[in-house]
Amino acid sequence: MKPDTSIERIEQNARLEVHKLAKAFDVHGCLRPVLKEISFSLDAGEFVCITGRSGCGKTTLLNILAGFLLPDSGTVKLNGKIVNRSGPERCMVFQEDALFPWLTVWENTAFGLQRLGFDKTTIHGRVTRLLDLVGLVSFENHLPREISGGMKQRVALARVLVLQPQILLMDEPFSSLDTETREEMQDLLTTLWAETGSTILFVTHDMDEAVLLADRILVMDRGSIAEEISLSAVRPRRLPFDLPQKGFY
Amino acid sequence: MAKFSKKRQIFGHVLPWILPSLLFVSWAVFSRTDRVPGYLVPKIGQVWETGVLYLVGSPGGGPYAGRFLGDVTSSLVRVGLGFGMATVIGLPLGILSGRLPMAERGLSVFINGIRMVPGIAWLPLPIVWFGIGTKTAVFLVTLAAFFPVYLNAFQGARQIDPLHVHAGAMLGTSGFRSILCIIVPGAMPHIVTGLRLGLGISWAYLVLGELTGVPDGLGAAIMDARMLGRVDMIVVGIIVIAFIGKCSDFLLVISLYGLSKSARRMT
Repeated sequence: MKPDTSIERIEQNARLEVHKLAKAFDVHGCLRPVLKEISFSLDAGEFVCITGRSGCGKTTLLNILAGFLLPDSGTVKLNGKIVNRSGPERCMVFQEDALFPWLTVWENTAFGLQRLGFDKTTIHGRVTRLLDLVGLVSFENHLPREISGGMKQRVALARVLVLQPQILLMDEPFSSLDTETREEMQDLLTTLWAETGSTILFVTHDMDEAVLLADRILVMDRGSIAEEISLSAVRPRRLPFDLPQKGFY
Repeated sequence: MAKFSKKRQIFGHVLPWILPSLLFVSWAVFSRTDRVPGYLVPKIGQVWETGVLYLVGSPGGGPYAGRFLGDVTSSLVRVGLGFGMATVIGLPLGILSGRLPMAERGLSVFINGIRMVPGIAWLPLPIVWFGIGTKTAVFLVTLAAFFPVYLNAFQGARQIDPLHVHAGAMLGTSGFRSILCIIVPGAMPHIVTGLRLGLGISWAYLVLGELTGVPDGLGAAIMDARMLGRVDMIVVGIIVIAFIGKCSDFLLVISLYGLSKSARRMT
């Protein structure tokens, strides 16, 4: 039987609605609000960036959306249904290395599919295809400690895309990479997004990165959304090195 | 460069044998000088003869002739039972305490209190409960092996990166499956250390348990030799325990490597 190597486009019905989401943390006995009744929505196939200063609540917001944290109040709805626990329909790529160190690149990528009970043919097909897309087929038997930081983030991306999530949450996934690798990863993400049709919520503190990637930017400040910017510039947006960058935006 | 690396490789193979060889040579020289009487430090030849008789001698050829197989079997059964029980109880409790703060609170004071009691202080209690014999030795081995197994499993489960647990949950692994697929593999380096320490201490407490007067076992043979003033047999017993202990540790590691990817790849 020929392995299924297709990566289906995500059905265009994933709509995420965030309504009056609030969260406070107890810091030395004092309740410190981190999110102040935030509301916004993501349309299917949209690429939205959230940006803002460190400590403005970006990661907390993403952790609640992923189901790792419960909000104090407010709701998160995916396609009209309230979600309050983590699941493969909302996958996250973390800022730090979160690959399982005891599994190879191939096993890390296949982990979710195996746990969700997919058959071997589908697993083999999808994993091979994704590793091919992220350019790591020749590293499939390497352990995470044997590959570079950029490669690890590619595996992290492959590990979640292989599940074809409806929403892809990304928490400053390229912030620890060098400039060249970061640019490679940004291009790869744009290509994968175009190919899979995922809805992406990407957290970054780098405004240039947000402008390069997003359809829409939400600027957060002290737990609230201070500004919303829509971008209509055509892709690819990266300029060649010999052109002046000034005035592009 | 290649020559240097080969020399280094050879030195690496020789290195573990330097200390035992030095000890052996010192013993040989020391015992030949006759400065110390033979009933304190026996001669190598005498130990060799006793050892051979103990291993392959026919019963009736002396007090220890041909006892090896029976003694080793009895001791292995006691260590196996005690260490097995310590593992079955210690591993789940350690992992539970490492992941659930309430479990840690409920157990840590009690376990850390008991941990401080030396083995010799425990000895009279199992003798009163179970009498002299296998049960007492197994009780002592279980008690001794429990603490390293429990504490290392606890530490391993506790230091699991929360990101791995989150990643597991979003990839479809939560609850009990998370323990099997994320916590145990992630804690494996600590678990392996705990099991190895537990097995090592099992042999130490086995001897203590067998010193109480059981008829067979390596500890019993050593105790018997002490009563008869046979220092050569005591040395034979010590060497046999060291050898069997090392072999059991090797088998444990090989088994763990065979059973668990994370043991193989992370330790």
